[in-house]
Amino acid sequence: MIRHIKPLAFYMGLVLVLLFFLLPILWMIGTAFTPSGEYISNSLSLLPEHPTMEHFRALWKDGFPERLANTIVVAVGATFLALVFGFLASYALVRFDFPRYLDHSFLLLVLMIKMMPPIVVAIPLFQLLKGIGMLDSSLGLILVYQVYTLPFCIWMLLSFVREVPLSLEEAACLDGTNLPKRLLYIVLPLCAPGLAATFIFTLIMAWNEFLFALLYLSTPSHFTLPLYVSNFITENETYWGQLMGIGLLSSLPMLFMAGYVQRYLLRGFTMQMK
Amino acid sequence: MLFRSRLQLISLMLPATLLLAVLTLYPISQILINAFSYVDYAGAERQFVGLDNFAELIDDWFFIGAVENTLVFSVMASFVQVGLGLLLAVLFDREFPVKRFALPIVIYPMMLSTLVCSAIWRAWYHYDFGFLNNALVSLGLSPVEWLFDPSLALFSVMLVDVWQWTPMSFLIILAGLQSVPADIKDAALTDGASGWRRFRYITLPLVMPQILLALLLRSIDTFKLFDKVYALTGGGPGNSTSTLSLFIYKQGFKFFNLGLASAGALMMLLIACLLSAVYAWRYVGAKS
Amino acid sequence: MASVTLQNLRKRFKNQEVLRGIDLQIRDGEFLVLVGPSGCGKSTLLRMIAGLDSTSEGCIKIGERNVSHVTPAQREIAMVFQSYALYPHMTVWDNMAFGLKMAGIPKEEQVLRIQQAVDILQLHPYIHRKPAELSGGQRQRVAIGRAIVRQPEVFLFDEPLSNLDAKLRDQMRVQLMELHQRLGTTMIYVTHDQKEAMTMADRIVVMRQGVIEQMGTPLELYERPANRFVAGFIGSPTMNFVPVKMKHQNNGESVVTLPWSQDIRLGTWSASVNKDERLELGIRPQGVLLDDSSPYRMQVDVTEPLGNMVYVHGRINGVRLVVETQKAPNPGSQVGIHLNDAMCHLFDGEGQCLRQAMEHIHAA
Repeated sequence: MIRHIKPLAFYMGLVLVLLFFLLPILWMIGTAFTPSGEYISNSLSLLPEHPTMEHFRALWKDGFPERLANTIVVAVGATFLALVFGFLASYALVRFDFPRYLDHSFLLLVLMIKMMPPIVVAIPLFQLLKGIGMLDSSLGLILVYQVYTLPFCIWMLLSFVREVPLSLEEAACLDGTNLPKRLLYIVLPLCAPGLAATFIFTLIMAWNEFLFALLYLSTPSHFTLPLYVSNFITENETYWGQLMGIGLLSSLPMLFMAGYVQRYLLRGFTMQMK
Repeated sequence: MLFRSRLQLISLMLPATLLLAVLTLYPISQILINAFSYVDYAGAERQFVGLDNFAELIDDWFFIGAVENTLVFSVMASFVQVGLGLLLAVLFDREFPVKRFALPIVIYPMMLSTLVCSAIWRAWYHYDFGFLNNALVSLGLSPVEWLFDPSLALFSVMLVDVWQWTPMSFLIILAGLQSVPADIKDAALTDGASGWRRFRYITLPLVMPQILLALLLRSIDTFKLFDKVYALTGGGPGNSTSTLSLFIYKQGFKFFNLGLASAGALMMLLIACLLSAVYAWRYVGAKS
Repeated sequence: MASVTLQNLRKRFKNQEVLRGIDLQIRDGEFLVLVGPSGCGKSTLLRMIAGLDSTSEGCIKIGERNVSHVTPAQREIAMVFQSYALYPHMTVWDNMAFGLKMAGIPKEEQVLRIQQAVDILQLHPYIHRKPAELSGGQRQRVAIGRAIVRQPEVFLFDEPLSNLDAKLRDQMRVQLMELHQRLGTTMIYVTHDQKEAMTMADRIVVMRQGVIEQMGTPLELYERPANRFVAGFIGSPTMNFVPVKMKHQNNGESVVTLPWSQDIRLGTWSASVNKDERLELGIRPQGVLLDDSSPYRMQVDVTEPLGNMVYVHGRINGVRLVVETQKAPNPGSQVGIHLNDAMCHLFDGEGQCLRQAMEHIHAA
């Protein structure tokens, strides 16, 4: 008896959990295709009766592509900057026989910045960006995003760089490589899985960042997608269709990437513990 | 002799260190100054006022409420997410037919921008037409004021956070479960441990590091909570969902009260430092 | 090809001195083995010759060139690591080509050299595989190939066989010796395994705690160990050590007393020793004979039959002895023993050798 009940309970639990995560998403997809007149209803159906592309057309005309481009520039830029700087720093941390306290204090600094709520530094950073004339620009945003992305990258990459055996680098050293070549030909390829996992996580982080974008961008044409979303929530009306359209469109690239590196994602988390 | 000199390695650390210093040490020094000053935003003038800002904060009912809300939210949300994540991870740590498709569904909420998440749930929480109330009514129950009932609003916000970020805990713990060597599970089986007992005495202790990691990451994030509150309730009704981040944001960017905002930020930073010291003591201490 | 000269080489880590003044002349084309227990500094010495560790004091010359402060790549050496250190993301061919590419050697020359190494090491079937797809022995050969193609003045080996199983290790040992004969290049080889040292070396350097204890040909070390440490380190099974007391030392004759009250005559030697001084007698298992007529009886604990001979482990008066013999006695039985006095070494309280054996029977 029990043998039959157990899988049943398992599948019922699974279905319940999946529904909890799936239903809001289905609703989002449904709403993106729902004509404006159909929003208000008391039905439990998540899918539109008369599907429409009107919201996507509206988005296209309204300047969605431009915001998408902004987001790509900012997110990819911030991610690359953090990966390059973070990779170099974590390599040095792993390989350099720093005095213990220096090693620990740098890691502590990283941890503390990770802990630090971004709002804490938001006001002085505003003045800093204003001072160097980077307020309301993609470049400025890329710079301040390092508050999140750089500590995260260092933290993630440390464990991956630690996995590269020292003897490989010694062999490369005998083979006549200097430090830059060794990093490029030996260490970098060996850390590729770690870099991929870190890249995805950092990209998601930067792609969806809202607070700094809200505070430091003022020209609508410079907006990133998370900020663009707020355009469709006005005092009088919420444009659900467009809103959900953006949600769908902006999450798809992340989902595909995450799916592509799924096996590295799990590995990334396991490695972090070492 | 792998490295020509220590200088070579220090130079590798330089870009990251400099950037982090500029982005954090400079702002923190500004906050330290502003927290003890009255700042005239328009005149860009600063006047030392000692502990006045802090005295004002402690008397401020809005600030105390924000501290309470932040701590309640951070503790509860992270525990719920890790618990749910653990459950999910256990479900996913075996083979079943639709697993390939189920995993992306479960982690999809993580990929969404917080604002979109909030928008979805704002629609679901709508009193007259929201999906949740529609469901309640069709079951013959009375509808609920999800976001406008002061005793409920914080938990409604929490539910959104649980929905969006449980996948993160799930992924971390699943990674831990999958790295438990099969022979340990087999050994437990041959020892006669099964079901609950195997989970309690074998699996759970082995994934404890991952559970703690998830708890750490989620409590950090929930402590910073800003955008969900901003998008769902704006801190209301009354002050019932205001958080520290929101409080500082309002003081700094709405009322331009830089002194008070900086004092609040400093207090928040101190709490964060306290927490990170505890974690660092656990992590770094355990490693060395 | 080149000789290697080490002059008063010292290495300090923090405040610990791991190499305490090494002077060594390695001849051109020689196969030199550095051997010693772990922590004796042999690997550090090798890594200093390679340029992977810096020298605290002293100088390293390869040929006539002082390379103490030259980068590893410019020392014209090649090294085979204990872990092989093959680049896991490159194929066998690329692993061998990498160093040549870095040195800017023309493509045709690269191909020529790699082709030659592949021939020598019979790596044809594997050149497009990655290290993860190779067995331990194949990886070992690739690591050697990578060293060969660089055509170095000196080969350095850091315990290259310790990750292989016993049978493969024997095969590789022979291959390495063939390689040395074929190339005739100077080779410096680090191991903790005295059997490898004995079978492969032209000359062995025994190290302990950062100093050279003794150097010489395998036979010299085996027959004339300079001290108790070398005597105990070289040879398998280990030499037996028996505490003895000096009975008397007259012109032309010294007599020591064994713990089982047997006197043994050891002829003359230069050093003079006081009466009743405590010494240590060393004798290899071949020097102890089973002799039923002997009144000195040894209790047999275990026997170790190896086919062509038997090692008998036993105790007499609390002293453990290993005896090599042809016929195994029963464990638990008592056997009479006799020490061949011509095969006895004698060591003083500091472990320095006072008298060497006159006669030797070598292990198979």
